[in-house]
Amino acid sequence: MRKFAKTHEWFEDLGGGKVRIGISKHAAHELSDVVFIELPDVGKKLADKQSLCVLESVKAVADAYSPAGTVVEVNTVLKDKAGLVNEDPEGKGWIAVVQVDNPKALDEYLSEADYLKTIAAH
Amino acid sequence: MRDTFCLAWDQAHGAKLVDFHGWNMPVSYTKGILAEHEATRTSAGLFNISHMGRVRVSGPQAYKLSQWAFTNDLSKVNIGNALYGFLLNKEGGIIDDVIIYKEANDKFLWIINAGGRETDVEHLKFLASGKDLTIDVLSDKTALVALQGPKADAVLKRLVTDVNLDNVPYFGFGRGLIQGKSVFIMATGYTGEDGYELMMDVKDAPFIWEILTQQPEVTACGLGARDSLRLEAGLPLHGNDIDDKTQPYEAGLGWAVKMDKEGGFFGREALNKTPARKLVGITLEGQNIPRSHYKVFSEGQEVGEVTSGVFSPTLKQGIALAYVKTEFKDKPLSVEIRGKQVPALNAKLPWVRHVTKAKGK
Repeated sequence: MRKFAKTHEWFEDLGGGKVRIGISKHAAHELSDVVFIELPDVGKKLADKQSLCVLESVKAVADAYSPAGTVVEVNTVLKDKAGLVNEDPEGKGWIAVVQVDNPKALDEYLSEADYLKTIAAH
Repeated sequence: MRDTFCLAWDQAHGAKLVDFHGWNMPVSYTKGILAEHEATRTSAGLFNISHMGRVRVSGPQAYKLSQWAFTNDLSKVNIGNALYGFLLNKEGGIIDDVIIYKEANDKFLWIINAGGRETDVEHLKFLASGKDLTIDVLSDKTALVALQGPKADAVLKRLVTDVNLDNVPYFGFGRGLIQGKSVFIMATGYTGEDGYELMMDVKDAPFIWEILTQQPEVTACGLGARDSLRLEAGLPLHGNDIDDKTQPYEAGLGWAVKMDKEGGFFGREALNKTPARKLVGITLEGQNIPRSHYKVFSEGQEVGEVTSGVFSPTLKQGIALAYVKTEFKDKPLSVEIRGKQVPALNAKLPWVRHVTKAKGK
């Protein structure tokens, strides 16, 4: 089951403390026209809620955040095809896989239903 | 927030609506900014710009007021043509950048920015005090749309009657009909492309907008594409690159100021022709996009700030307008992006300009 952050990331528990991270459809729509993504290097250590990557769209710039951990895989397709984040944000447009330090790190995040409620309230 | 005639259409066509100077306006439709930008550069983009203001000054002293309130020289323009220039405050700051269309010797149409709808009119009324003229605010009675791009001319020629668009030069205007509805057709724009801006009765606007959107060459565009297009064309945006604390010469817009025109103009005495800072164009290489308020450095010191920055869809690079201290304007510059110094190339403005229509006199 996926979890969502109020800061519009999704987290998919891959087991063994590995978490796949991307941005939500809502975030991709709001940001629109992502043209570059400053991707992290594999092996990068992240403190809790530290920026995982920077997404540059035509008009705006945004960060995606991660729980504390180590980057173990990066979606390198995004290097040349950042627009995949707009086309398929919750699928092929995933950003990275992080080995999280705390196996219960995802507990504090929202279910998809609760996340959708928070964005509907805005 | 205020709505334009187009709100229902916008909502039915997936517009992402934002508050722009108090107006509920689309930043883009479903195709997105990149596609809308591209459509305007290669075919034709249609923009609702009814948030902008429209004021007609007429009467025996309409010329006198327009000339006194405006930095460019209306004595040099013939009926049927227009001029770009500024409305200044007494400190020489730019209250607004405007285009004045000379309809007759005693009749001038001012197209002003959304943010100037109240301030410009107040200022004009202040300057008009005691003069024999009428200031008619058309902003709510009319709508304004822009059709821009290499195919705009062909599209409009197919739709309009009672006017020969070949006789309308760049910065000229005429009147015609679209399916019997009167349109005021101005060969001006804010994209660096050939094209037209159309003013019409607000009651006719939904009908004419619908006709324009149905033309196969035409893509409806939001303010996002309008912004990336105007920035590529090196055109300033009031509120970002110029404002009431900025003077024309520092913004590199001295060409629209006629210091020696007969009778002078309001704000003239305060103008500084050798300003301490200058607006410059910069281009960044690689995957770096300068944004408004990013700091500009040269020789290890902070020398200025970005006022407008965007990913240029045409150049596939970050481009920006920035104010820098005048002594550094031709020196190597860098922009600080998230703590890193990114070298900037000094760019010659505009980055993109495809206007082919000849200017009138």
